[in-house]
Amino acid sequence: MKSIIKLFIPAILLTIFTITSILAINNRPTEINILMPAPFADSTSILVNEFNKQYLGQIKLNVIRGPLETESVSDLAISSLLLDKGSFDVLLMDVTWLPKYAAAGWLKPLDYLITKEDLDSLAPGAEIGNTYNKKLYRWPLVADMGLLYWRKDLMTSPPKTPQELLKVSRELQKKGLVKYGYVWQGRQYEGLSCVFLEVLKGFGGEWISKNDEVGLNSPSSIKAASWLKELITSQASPLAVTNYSEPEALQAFESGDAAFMRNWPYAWSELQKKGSSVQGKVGVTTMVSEPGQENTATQGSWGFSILKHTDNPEAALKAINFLSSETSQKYLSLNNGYTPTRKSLFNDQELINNSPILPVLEDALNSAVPRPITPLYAQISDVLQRQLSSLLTDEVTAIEAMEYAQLNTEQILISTGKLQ
Amino acid sequence: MISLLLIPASLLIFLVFGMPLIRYVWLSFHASSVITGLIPIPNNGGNWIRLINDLRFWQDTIQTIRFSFVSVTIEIVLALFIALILDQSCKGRGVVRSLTLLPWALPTTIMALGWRWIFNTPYGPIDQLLNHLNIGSLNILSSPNLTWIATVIADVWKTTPFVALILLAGLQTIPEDLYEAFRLEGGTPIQALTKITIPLLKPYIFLGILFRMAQAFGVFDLIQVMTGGGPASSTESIAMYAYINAMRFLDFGYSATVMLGGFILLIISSFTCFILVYHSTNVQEKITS
Amino acid sequence: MSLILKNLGRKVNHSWIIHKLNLKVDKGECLALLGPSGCGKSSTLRLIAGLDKPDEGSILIGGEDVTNISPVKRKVGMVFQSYALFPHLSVAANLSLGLKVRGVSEVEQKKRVFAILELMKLEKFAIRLPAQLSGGQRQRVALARALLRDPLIYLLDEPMSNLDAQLREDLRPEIRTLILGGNKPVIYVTHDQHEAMAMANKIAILNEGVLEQVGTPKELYENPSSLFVAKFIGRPQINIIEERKEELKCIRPEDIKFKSNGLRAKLEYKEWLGSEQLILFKTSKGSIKMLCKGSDEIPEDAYIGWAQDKEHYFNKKTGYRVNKLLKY
Repeated sequence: MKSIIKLFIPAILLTIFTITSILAINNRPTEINILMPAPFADSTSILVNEFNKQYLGQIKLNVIRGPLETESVSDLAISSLLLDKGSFDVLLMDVTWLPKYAAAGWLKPLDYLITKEDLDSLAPGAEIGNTYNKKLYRWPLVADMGLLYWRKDLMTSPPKTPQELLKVSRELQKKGLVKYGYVWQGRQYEGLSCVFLEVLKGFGGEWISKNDEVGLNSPSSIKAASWLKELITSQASPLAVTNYSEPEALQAFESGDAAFMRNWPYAWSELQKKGSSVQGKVGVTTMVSEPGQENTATQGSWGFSILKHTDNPEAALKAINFLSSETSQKYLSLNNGYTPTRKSLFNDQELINNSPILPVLEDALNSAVPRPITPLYAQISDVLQRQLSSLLTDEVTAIEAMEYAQLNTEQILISTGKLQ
Repeated sequence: MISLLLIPASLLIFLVFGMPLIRYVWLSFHASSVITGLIPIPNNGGNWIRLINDLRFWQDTIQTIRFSFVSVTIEIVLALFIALILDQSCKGRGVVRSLTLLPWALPTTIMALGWRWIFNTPYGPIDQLLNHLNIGSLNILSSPNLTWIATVIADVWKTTPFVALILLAGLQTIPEDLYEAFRLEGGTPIQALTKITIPLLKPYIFLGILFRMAQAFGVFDLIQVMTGGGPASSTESIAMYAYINAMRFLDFGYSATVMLGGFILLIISSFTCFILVYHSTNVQEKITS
Repeated sequence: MSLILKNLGRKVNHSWIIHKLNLKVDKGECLALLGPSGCGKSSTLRLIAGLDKPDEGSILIGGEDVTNISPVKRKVGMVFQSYALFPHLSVAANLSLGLKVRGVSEVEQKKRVFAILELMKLEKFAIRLPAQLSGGQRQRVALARALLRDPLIYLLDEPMSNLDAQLREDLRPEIRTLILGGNKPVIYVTHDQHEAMAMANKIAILNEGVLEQVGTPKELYENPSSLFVAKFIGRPQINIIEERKEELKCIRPEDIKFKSNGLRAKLEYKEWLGSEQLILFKTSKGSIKMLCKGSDEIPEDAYIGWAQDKEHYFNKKTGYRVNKLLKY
């Protein structure tokens, strides 16, 4: 009898082992892979750990640390979407990618996952750029918009109109207080389109109207372009801005050489760091505009999209909700200076204490304008960049540049069937 | 037997080179973009017609050829000079040789970023120096007529060591006694260079030109980082245009066409270069008795 | 016209590779520089050509001190061991290049190249590249180039070491008629004593940069001034018969004869070489080589001896000769 029991022991152990193994396999957590640009992957790492702790055994969130540069992240995402459809479940997306990705059929509509309550919690301006063809494809994490930085130590209040900005710049330069008046992004790249969009709106122009009409050769658009050119010819801006992107502009402003700078909110915390010559001397406002026109800020935000092929949209949504929750956004704002997208956070005293420019950011977000929402945005922005760069480097006149841009943009849009 | 042994290598070349090429040719006869939902639809050579009429492609072609010819020419001349110096035996030659190779070992994007800051106005060293000498800013990266020269300088800085290495290898195959025999005959060092060194280096010079033309024609990261193709698209290369079409515009059909167009032009350019150099350095004298 | 080396010396890495070298080569004379590899013979040639500078001493060509004169002005016709033909140039171009850089007119160039090609029977190969020639043909092109130089002296650096035995034999008369026996000094570097004896009327033996002996081939063979020379000249090598307190007694193998009352010798082995045979005997004085006629019968046990006037004595320490000159 004993020997029979002995004989059974291995069999029993084996059965227990098998059952537990099967249970273990069934209990393996759902894996969610998110691709983020490197800075975001770094800033969210603590939040991700917290999420994984909270959902231990259910969801395992992996962040794939992408490249530093926005466009390189896009390249990586596109390559993986074209070659291997299983790499990522969620993508942290720049606002300009959305129509293109949605048109390519790579994104999952989020409408059925997001409640009206969620939508209402967004700050005005933060809801822009998340939809394509009336469907929601992206959930915002960080708001971003173009700002005008000015020197509090050189003036009492910032200029309101383009003419004022130019005049004040020249005066300060003549007095020898600054080397340059106004530094901005004039390199032939996406940043130039962002700069121009703000100026364009400030002069009352339109890039592409709500009725899908191209407005680049309108008198206001030509005026806007001429003003950018005038900044350089009047020497309010150095000729070198034609190869400036954000870091170059920041360097000039940070070293105290410029009175004004156009940049994104991230620059503010950079300017407060040790080693900055303008620490505590910087004010922030929205871009100048002609009297009677609105001050606007080009919207450039980041948000999460769920990729179409994911097997676990619900788990992905949980991760998105966690990372973009009020608590998380507050953490990111306090620790990384990210601009929140939730209405309530703009009134959070702790955040305001930490970042005195938050009310300005809220205003700017309020007046944020999106870049044209079309899958062909990259093409039309490219056209605009080429023409503006040609204008700024004396290759063409403002009228020529804007006429070319008008023509080429129309040709591109005709191919989508949106223009006849 | 020999042909049998070649099969694995041929297969590998076909897989990594032939297959993508065939795929590109196929793709270049299809519309495949966001508009078609990335589904390839035959378009009867529409891409090729568009390419021929695409002024931007031809502008990029001229810019790419200009960049390639000028930088490769300067590189060959400089590299010959450097190789001749490195070929001299002296103390610490190994260290000098390794140091010379350093620019080549540096990742292109990093060195391109470095050059962008070197040419930066007003914080780059060149501008600082010019201002110090009261010459004023050069603004080389802001002038469509000059910016390409800055890219050539960066490219020459980076790849001359590579060419020098090839030429150095060539120099070391030339026996010393040829020079001695020539000296006894009354040849001067300069004559030795033109009548012995350069003719005997010819195969290596060709090799350098071929390698570098192919590389320079496909220039991408250097320009992308230094200028982004600007100002006024004056530095955009064919490879950049193909890249923008694929990755920015998601227009894969046309991107493949641009790529193939560039490939065809590369073959033509390399061949032209080859012929030109062959004739200019063909100093072989044939005296029939 | 003669070549004189006075007290010539050259240092490499702080040690002398040639030291206190004194030589004189008269017109029409061919001096072979003979020695094992590394003895300094090629270095001497390079000093004479002007490719290297001496650290000491002087070189005179035709009475004129050329020590500090450029190679081209020394007007030497040199044949390199590797031939040093320009691989990218045709035979004709190889020959005319020197004339061209020395500024000879094109008509003259053609005339002289054509003449030399004819002389060397190389007309057929005028437009060939060196790589398309056989070893012997390349050698002839190299000789032709040296001749074309119309030099004051000829320097031949192991000119035939890259050729097989048959070709060497064939080329010897050619070199002899074209270069030797003229009215110019010739220096011929070789490590092959047969070649040296066949070609030269004077041989200088170098050992570690120092001149051991200079003389006619016959003098060197018959009266070597040192054991080194004795060992170097004459094949098979000289026998060391006996070690005395301070001297070594040596006999050449060809001087060993059978002698009924001589030394008892046991045959160890023999090499039959046709006209002659080499025999190795084991004796009470060690192994002794003997060279005798190919037709001789060799017994297993023999008695050998030699004439006393064939004995060479050398100092054990210095290697220098101690006995009087022998008369053959």
